Amino acid sequence: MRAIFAISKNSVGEALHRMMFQVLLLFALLFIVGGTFFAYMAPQEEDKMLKDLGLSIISVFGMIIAIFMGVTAIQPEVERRTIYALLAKPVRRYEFLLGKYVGSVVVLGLSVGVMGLVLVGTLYVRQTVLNFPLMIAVGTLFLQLAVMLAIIFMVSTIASQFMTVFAGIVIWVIGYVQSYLHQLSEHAQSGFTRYSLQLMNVLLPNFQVFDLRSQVVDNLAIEPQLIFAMIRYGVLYGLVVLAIAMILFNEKQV
Amino acid sequence: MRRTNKAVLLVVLVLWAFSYLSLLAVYESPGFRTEYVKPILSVGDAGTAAVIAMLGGFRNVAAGLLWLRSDYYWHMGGRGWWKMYPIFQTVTELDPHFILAWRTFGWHCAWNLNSEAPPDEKPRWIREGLQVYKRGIDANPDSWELYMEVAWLYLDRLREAEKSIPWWELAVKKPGAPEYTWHMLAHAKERSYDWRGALATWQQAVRKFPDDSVACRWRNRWLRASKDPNLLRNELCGVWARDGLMRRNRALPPKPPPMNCPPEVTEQLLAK
Repeated sequence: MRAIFAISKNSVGEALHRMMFQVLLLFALLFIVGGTFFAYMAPQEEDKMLKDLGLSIISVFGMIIAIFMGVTAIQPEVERRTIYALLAKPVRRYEFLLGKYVGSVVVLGLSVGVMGLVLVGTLYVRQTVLNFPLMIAVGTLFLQLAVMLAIIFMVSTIASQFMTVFAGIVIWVIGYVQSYLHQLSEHAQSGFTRYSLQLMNVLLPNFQVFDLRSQVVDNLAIEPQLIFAMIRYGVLYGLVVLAIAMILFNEKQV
Repeated sequence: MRRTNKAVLLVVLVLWAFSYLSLLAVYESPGFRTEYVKPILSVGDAGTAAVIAMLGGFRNVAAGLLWLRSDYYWHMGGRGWWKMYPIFQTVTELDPHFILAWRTFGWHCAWNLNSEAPPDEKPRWIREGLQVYKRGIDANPDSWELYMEVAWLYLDRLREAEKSIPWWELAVKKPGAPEYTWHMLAHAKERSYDWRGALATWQQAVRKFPDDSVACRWRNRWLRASKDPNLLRNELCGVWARDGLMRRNRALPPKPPPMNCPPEVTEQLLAK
């Protein structure tokens, strides 16, 4: 546990000092605040536009930060051979992987938290009331990004940096169409199509389940049952992916 | 493969099964919104369906940006108004819960495109507006605004007060329906010459909105009329006369009067 904590603390420090991470976060904040200009152009629907744009910007930049963290966590250490020094110490491979993951999740959480605060603050200035459903939506977005980060870690244990980036983007896109595929599988005529779509639903992540944008924008109540089911799914799927990453990293010849 | 890894793999398979069950629990959760996915299955054009699916979580943003574009065509006027039609169609497909888009779409068809269309196509655009509102209601069954729009189309655009009443009655029952929906329900009953129904509606409105001075005033007015036959005749003839003026302006045939309305009485009422 001490090793995991030490490695995660180190990776948080490294990430926060990276210029690229700071630039990404700055751009994200500028886009969120800049969303108010789009909102002024939409009569009667200013708050809807702001929430839509704000949450979408957090999702996109969160994805970019997650890919950036995943790609720079393990592969550069392997390529520079600095991983040997770490593994020569009494640090097990799974502790190294978990430490890097926990550190990356902390950085991701800080980024999403800052972006979420700016969005909630921008809306507070307009509405003079704190929007708690919006905060919950930002929280579930963070959970989705943490799951995506776990998948990127898994891919990075066996693939190059370029392939990891490509895989990250593809998984993010597929994650957002999974609900449609699930609906299509219920209406599929052929058995082969139905089972193939259902298999994709089992194997690949469904990021739409973490998306509360439509509830927040339409001012609907967010059911606690939905949140608990969402958290359960995110945690279990994340654990599965991390466990596979650990197996692959254990088998890898560094 | 090492023995530890085999044990972990077994645990992974069990956890994966539980995670899929959790995913199914999310699908079944009361708050999980899948109704926006269903329109995808009914969209005729596979290209549109694919684009909507790929937009995934950004469909609302895409709808918002297209909505901004529609404002540009509105100010263009004339042929720009026809270009708004496919934009509104796309916006409502991308974001079926965008109530303002449905309202504006239906209004644009039934009022603006109807006025721009050649004479033989005018009725078609009224029907189109009605269909748009009804599609909006299918996607948003709890929206009082859309029921109100249908009711207003019948009451104001088509001057068919009797057909508007069921829609006003649906609108007032929806959560968040404001005072003026009750006012319009009562006025629709007045224009159908159902003054008893109108009075009952004003009384219900006063009970629901005790601070509503408009409802109080109209309730008192009809209460006085219910006790005085001359006053009642004047009220009903006044409604008929004003409605007749509006129908004349819109080249609609006149409705028969509710009772014997002497011309000198109606002229006096119109002069007021």
